[in-house]
Amino acid sequence: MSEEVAVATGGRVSRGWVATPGRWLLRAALAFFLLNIAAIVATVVLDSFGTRWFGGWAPHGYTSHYYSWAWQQFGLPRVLFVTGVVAVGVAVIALLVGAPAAYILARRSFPGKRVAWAMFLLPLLVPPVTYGIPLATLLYRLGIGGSLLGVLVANLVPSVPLVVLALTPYVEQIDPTLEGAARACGARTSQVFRRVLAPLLLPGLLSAGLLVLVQTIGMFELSFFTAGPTDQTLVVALYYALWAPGIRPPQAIDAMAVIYMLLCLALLFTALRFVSPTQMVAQVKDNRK
Amino acid sequence: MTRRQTDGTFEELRLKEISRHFGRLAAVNKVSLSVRSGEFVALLGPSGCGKSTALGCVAGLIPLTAGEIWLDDSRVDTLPTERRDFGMVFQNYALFPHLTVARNVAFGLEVRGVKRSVVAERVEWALSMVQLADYEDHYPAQLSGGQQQRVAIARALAPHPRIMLMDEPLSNLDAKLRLDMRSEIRRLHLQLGLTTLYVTHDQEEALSVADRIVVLKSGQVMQEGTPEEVYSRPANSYVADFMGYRNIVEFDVTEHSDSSVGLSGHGITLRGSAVGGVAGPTAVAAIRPDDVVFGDETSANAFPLRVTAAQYQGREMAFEGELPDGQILFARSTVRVQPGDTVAVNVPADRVLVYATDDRAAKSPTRAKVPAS
Amino acid sequence: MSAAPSYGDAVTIAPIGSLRGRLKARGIDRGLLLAVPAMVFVVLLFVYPFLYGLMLSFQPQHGDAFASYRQFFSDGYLRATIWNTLRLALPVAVVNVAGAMAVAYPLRKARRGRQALSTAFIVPITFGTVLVSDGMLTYLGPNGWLNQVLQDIGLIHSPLVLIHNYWGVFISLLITGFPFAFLLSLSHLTGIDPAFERAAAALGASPWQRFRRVILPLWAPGIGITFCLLFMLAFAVFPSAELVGNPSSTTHVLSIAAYFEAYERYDYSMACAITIVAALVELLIVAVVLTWRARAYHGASTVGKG
Repeated sequence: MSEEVAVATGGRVSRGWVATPGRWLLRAALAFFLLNIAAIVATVVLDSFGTRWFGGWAPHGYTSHYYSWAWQQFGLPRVLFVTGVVAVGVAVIALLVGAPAAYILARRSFPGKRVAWAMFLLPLLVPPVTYGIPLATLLYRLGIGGSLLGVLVANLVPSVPLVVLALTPYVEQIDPTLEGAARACGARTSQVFRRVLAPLLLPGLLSAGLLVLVQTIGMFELSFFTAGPTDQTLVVALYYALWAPGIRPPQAIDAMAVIYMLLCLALLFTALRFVSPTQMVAQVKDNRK
Repeated sequence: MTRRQTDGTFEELRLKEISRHFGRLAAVNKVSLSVRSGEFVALLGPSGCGKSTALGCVAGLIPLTAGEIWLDDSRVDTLPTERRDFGMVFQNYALFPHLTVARNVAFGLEVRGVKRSVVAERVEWALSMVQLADYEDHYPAQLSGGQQQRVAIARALAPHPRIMLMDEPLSNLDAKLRLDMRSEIRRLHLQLGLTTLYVTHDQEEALSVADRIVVLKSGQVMQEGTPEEVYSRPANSYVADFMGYRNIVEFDVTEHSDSSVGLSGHGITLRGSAVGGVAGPTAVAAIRPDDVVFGDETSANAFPLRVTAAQYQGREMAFEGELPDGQILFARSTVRVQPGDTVAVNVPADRVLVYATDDRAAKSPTRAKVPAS
Repeated sequence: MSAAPSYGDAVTIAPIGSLRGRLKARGIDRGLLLAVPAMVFVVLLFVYPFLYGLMLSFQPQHGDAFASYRQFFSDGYLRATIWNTLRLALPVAVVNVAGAMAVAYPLRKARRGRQALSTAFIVPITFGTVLVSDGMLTYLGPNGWLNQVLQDIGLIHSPLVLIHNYWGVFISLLITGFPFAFLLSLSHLTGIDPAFERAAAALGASPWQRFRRVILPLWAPGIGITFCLLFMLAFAVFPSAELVGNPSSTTHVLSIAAYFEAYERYDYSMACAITIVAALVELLIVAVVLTWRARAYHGASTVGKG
């Protein structure tokens, strides 16, 4: 039991903001990086409200006209509907399918467990085009390519493994004796799951679900290969608009980009209430909160 | 890059009113202490008393908020940890998992730029000191807890530190191993004459390894003295409680001359010897369970005890009894007793230590009154 | 991933020596059925398409089984996609990981700074390459803010060409990849018990020695993984290579070539051959890094006890 919490290495000096030139250089580089990101976001927002912007620091005038233009011309109601259905659908299905597997992988040892692990890891390891293109071909053959269902199915491929990976540490930290205790009290298997495991796993399910939502909304490749002209997700619609510019006013494209940005931010800040930033990239539970 | 290798000789390590605050909390509060060369000093106290923080301050791992640390005529608290030439053994050992045992032990020498042949020699010596000569090529993960502990000690010994700092080195070991390592640490100290500052919460451990014990409470020194002094003459009721005086009971003072104090209350009268000044109408008596002995009803300090609970503990019984008014007293006996028995006991007057009443003792849970049944 | 002894399993009493009893003893029982739906999903949606793609790649429109592969490697324009992809992915991964290490290391003790930066960095990750590319088109364009500022302060005389070329894709990958690298390497760094650094200091190691001899070796496995993930992320580059790159020459990467073959020329065999080559090249580099990592690494980065 060492009672010290904060431990600084070194003497009384050399702490806090008294830093070396090298450290200041790093801070400057970091500030430059973040400044550029902020500027990139700012240009998109500013341009979406501009009447015209050819050179100069800011647009010549401001209007919200392009939002209504984008809303109609890009068919955004449909696009947002598709995006929402796909994201929520994928999250729900991935949780239903992935959670039991995560439980088994966390709790049990059985022959072939390593193979099972590899199977769940591999979809996250190979580039999405590698399985995306043949999968899209198969889905078109089955007649669901180019539809909302096809986009949903394709997005399940990285999502089920994501749930398994994100959830296993949550299962591992639940004391196995709790399940034994529930059984000793006379609970049946289904009751153990419903009354003991599910409530304890709720934070894990929530964060895994949010991770899948964030991933699916941002997933470009798989949605792009499987999306038809009427069933695009927002990121795919944005890509198409950017890919064939000229025929549409750039402000309208930026207006769509702003809408996408707002959707991402809303989801992100919801997610950050339940998961740490680290968890969002590494899918590992951050215990050092 | 070769750095000065100290010969390790110095007269005295002095902590001058060192303090360390964490926010508003004073983890270490104006602690002064001097340690002579070759001495083994234990910092003793319950968890949260600031003993580990104090050790961290000496090591330079925790910056001081106030105060100074001197080694003879040179000030060390302004030096970073790595320039102090102190060896440290951590509670969780902190053995580098990516290095073999030999490389772990060699670490402190390698970073000082010591010649390879010397390093090899020293590693061999340090490992033989802790009887782990055959484990050079093992990785820490392959060792048992006790072996890891020995490697940690060897690693701290190898650079010939001026002072050895040990932070609860035995608290992660099981009971039997703890006893073995305790005598091992004592043996090493005697053999090498290394100045040692040792942190522990275990009073028995402190008594058996240290030349001198410093008892801390809330970051302040409560008592400083040899193990005998601290054990038999605790300076206050707090130290007494910590040193195993389980019975801390408040009495009325009936008479008071020099060190001898007459007490009454809870239906009995008692004579005790005052430690520090006893003033005021009440005082606190501290009695070890072992000092409550059977028989001799004619002695001045004899009183009856009604046994309420008894536990068989092998060689003796530990039991709880009630004084006539229901006050609980803990005692031990080699004779078998049973709940319901009333036994005649007495406590030698020089083993009843009387302290001035203080708030802490008044709130002590051991004094909670149990309704007489 | 060790399996804890589970008291939660349904206790099925089976006669000793029966098949069920013997299987149970090896850990096989009905409980495992819980993992079946997820396995079925992976097999149907990943393994089967993957094998289907592999098969397609050996069924070219013309010629023998290896015709698609032969054509890929004999056609200079197609063959160059491997180089074009690696030329982006490897430097981006190296720069991002090195930069992330430099930024993360001084932050290992600053809890508040860590939290603020982590949150700031998660934003560009969430936006993704498509949105970042959109912003770059305006911001980094010849009339964009960056070129205006640089010209106004006299650093350059004519606008820098930062989009529709190699650098455009490089920058887009830097922007989306760096936060990734930072968060991952920081999480590995903070996972190293600070006691090791303290112990090293107590043994006389200077700040540099502590980094070089203790932190770096313990951090290396995490850095290896971070590098692999960053590399994989950059290797799969697609939308930004098209939007802010020069997709017909310098940023004609594997994904773009595969997409073009599949959806513009309808040569699925060639498209699948390209994706198989892409997967092999990627896994080869990942395997090299992981092998090095396994060799360099002994022990764990946390203290075993206490």
